[in-house]
Amino acid sequence: MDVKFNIQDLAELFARKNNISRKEADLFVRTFFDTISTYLLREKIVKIKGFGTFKLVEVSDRESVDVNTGRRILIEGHSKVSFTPDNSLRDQVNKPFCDFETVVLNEGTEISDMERIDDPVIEPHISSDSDAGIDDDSDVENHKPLVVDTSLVSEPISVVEEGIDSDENENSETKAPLADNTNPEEIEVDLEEVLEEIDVQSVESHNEAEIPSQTSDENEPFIENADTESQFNLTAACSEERKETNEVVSTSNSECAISEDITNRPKYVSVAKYVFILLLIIASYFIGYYRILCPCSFTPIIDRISNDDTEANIAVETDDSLTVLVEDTATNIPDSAVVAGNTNDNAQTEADSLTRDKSADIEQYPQIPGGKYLIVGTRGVHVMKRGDNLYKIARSNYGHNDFVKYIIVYNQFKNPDVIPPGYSIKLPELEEVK
Amino acid sequence: MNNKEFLTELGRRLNYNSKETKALTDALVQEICTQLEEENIIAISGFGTFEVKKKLERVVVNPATKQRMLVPPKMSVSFKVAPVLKDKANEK
Repeated sequence: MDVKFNIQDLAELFARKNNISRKEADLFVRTFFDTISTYLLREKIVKIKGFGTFKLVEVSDRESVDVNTGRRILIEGHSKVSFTPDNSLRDQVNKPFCDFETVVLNEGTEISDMERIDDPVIEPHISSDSDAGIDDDSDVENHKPLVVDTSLVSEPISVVEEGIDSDENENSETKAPLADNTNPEEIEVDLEEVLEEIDVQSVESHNEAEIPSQTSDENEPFIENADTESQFNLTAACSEERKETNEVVSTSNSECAISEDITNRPKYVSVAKYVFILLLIIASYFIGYYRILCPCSFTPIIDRISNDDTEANIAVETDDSLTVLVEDTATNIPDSAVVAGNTNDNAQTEADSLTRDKSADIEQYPQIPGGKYLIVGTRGVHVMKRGDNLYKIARSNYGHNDFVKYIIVYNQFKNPDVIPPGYSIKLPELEEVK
Repeated sequence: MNNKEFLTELGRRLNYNSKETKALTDALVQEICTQLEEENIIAISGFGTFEVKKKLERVVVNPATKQRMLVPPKMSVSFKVAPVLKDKANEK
């Protein structure tokens, strides 16, 4: 790109494409422009379909100030040739940016801030770009909102590829001759292939980019300024690289590529971060939450119950052993077995009476049919406050929401969803079903 | 001078019939457009230079509403008239 075509070159291309002789083509092109200029001078306007409109515009006299001497001078009126490209040509040329639309900036968008922070961040890139970037005018052009970036997406990809290309000297050398003969699409495909290979190797080359990328988290929008600035230079630079592996170009490319990298990376990085954190949260919830964070009275209940049991057992056993001892001392050794049998019987009857007591207890309370626990008594009373709910109470007293059903059954609530504040509810003592 | 008149005149000068002229003109225009699309510069001596310029995006303010707008970047065709033609235009 940026190749200069004169009439001869144009005629040659034209001849080749239309199967006419070189001479004819040359004549045609010359006559074409000659006709335009003749009629432009004569009629002041020439319209050519698909190309544009040439106009001769009269500029009237105006006063100005000589910048060197400061004197007022008169610039005489003259004619000016203007060319307005046809819509089709305009769209064709503007194809890379055709998706953009003018955006209304919000009140809050602070441009001056952007510029200020902008400068130090992009300084290194600008220095490499400036030679190519200066040709464009306007001082407001640094202002760079995110909107633009999204539509630029297609280009940065190729740019990154170019950059990596130049980072890998071997590759760029092998690539360049290829690129000479092929059209842009093919090159991009090639580059994409290379990109895949390089991805692994490029870790080293990314190291450079790594450091700025961290800072770029905060300054992301500003670096994007640099990108679009470098954007244009890059398109120019890309073309040059296709012609020849110019070392200067490749170095500037690599720098630009890094800057492109920076903008692309934070997006992935931040997305990856969010995903990772989300996973962490989910994992910690399912794995560790109950054991570590939950004030768990769930397991203690079981422990307590089993402790009661063991205490009872121990008591029985000690009773037994005592009686056995007593019996032993009193009677002969052969009798001891019988006595032991008796004591066993005693123990059994004791246990029976215990279970009988229990079942009597159980019967006097409402139970959940098929429930895992039995209601065996009242553990305490809870006075309902505003904001309390049964689930909360169940959780804090028993360690799990599911125990709410025991509270409901025990209190014989008709409508457990509506319990007035100040109402005292009884908390059941539970025992696991054996 | 519109397109039709231009084609007629061109055909008359080259002794081509109107169909040929139209076909060739379209082809030439197409060729120029293609070259411009590839950001090549087309310099026609004695006439002028066609070039594609990149315009960066900029912030504009609507003076009536004070609304700030961001105009996107674009590529536009610029034409710089050759000094020869410029002088000719000024002679008249």
